[in-house]
Amino acid sequence: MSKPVIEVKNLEKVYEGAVPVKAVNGISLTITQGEFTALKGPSGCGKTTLLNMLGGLDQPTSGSIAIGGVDITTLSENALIDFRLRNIGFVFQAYNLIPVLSAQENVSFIMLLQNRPKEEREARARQLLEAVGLEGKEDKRPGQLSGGQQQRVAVARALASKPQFVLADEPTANLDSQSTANLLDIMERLNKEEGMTFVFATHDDRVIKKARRIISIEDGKVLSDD
Amino acid sequence: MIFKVAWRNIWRAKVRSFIVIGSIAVGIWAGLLIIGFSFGMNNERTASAIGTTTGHAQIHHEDFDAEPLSTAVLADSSAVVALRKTVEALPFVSGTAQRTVLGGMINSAKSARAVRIMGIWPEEERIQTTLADYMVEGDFFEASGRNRLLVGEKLAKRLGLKLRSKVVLTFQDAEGNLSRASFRISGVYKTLNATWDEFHVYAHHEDLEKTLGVPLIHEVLVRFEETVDTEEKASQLAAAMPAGLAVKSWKQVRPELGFADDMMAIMLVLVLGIIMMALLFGIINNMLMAILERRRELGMLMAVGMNKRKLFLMILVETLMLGFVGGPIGILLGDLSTRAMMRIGIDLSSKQDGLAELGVQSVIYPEIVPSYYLIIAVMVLTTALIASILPAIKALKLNPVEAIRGS
Repeated sequence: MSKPVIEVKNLEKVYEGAVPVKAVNGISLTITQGEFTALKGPSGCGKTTLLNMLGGLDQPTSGSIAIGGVDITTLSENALIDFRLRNIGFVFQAYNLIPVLSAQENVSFIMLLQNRPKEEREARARQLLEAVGLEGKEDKRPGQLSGGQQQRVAVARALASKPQFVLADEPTANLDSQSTANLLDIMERLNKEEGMTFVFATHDDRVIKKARRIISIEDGKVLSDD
Repeated sequence: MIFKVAWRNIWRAKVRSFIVIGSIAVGIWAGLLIIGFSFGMNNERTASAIGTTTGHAQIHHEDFDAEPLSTAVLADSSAVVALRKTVEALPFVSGTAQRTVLGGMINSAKSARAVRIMGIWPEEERIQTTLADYMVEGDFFEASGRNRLLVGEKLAKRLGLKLRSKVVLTFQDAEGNLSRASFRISGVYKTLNATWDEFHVYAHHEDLEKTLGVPLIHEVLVRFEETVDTEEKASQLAAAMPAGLAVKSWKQVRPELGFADDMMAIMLVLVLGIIMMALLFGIINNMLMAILERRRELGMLMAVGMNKRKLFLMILVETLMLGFVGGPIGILLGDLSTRAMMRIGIDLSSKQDGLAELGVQSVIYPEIVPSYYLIIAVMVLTTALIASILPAIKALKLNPVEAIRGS
């Protein structure tokens, strides 16, 4: 059995307000190495909140999240930032690349934050861009790339830090069907060939079809897990 | 790469960055012009005062300021000759001149005023000062005659005096008795300092001696080779003096000139401070806009693991770069325009009378003061540094999740 990468226990997130909202209501789940998992559910079901907590971007009201055995809910803010840098890859809906940097530099930037040597940064960035099918586009800035290409740069960036897993929040929401198919093929290949764990929050059927495990969430609870 | 990102980020909003860089450059340019102008004006006033009337230093009896002027003489004539020889032997001294200095009254048919009566040796005075160049009427004791008197143009106007007008001078003699003598105006002078002109009259020493009975020498004016390190040279001069004599540098003789120097330094710092304050707000505004526009990107950087120190550094570098670009442009512009104006001068003839009260001529030639380039450079960078703090704090307070979502 593969080793667990993410172990969530009794996770709750309550947004305080005039009427407190329980966005995540007692979720427990384990994601193991090499999974290709989709968290699906309608808007407002709590899947993005769950994803943000798994990524250490949001703190749960109660419960624990262990990543590679480390309970990230107990980490200080600075330690958590460093933990994210070294253990978690992010792919966002709106790509969120740095517009003033080339594709190669966008991928390298993460490794720079990790203080990796220049030669390693450049070699790995080239290799990752090649892996996502962007050979020859290394020097293009985001503005010169299509949405699909930008999202592929974002995937390469997410992998650059050699994370334990990649969290992708609606990664295909802004893409046409061809770009979506390409992107999913690339992520599936990286998953199968390199054993990279992917967790998606999505309601895109094209992503859900590719996923090998689908966790349905509704009203902050796990409805089904297959 | 942080530098590369910061540099490229500046050029994302070209118009906005140009405006900020432009305002930094214009601010520095204006600052340098003001500095050049102020130094030009002040140094000219100083040079004019030293050259025309005061000299670089003066030697008096130590009681010169406290006692009635007529009694605080330096020594007898032969001792003064020896004293001047000693002084002239100093390597930095270019020459000396001796004077009789009396406090007294001048009476014309129209009015009377208190004046200081300077008894001079015209040949010496002509060599050591430029007073003779400022005659507007009459001559500088060249024509022969008795009891000739030079008055300033302003005093002449106040007393209704013309060439050959008769006046009566009242002053104390060596015994402290009041003496009176009548003089005729043989010349009218007009230096750059109207205040001086109003309170000083010049008589030939021989004419005063007729009334005083003996030559009284109260003052030895000392000219240095150069107007640099004058305080230090005055101290060296004082060290060479026998007991009972005191040396004053031009700053002590004419404290208002020294005050003007100090005041100017304070004023310049104030003006530069005001310019920097304006730049500060401009830069802060620019950077806050930049942060606001890049919330998503900054949120992403925080999400993927850019720590606060590096984020702060990135914004700091970006802000400093605005100063690094605008600063040299402003310094270059300021330098070039000051140099241009050094050649043509700034003509303020329309304010001539007011400037004369300040002891300044109507065309001002600005000066380059290299030390202020460094001061300005440091001030700009400090301003940029301070300006980066608020935007950086704003960025650090971003919540990555909300920033990425764009909410």
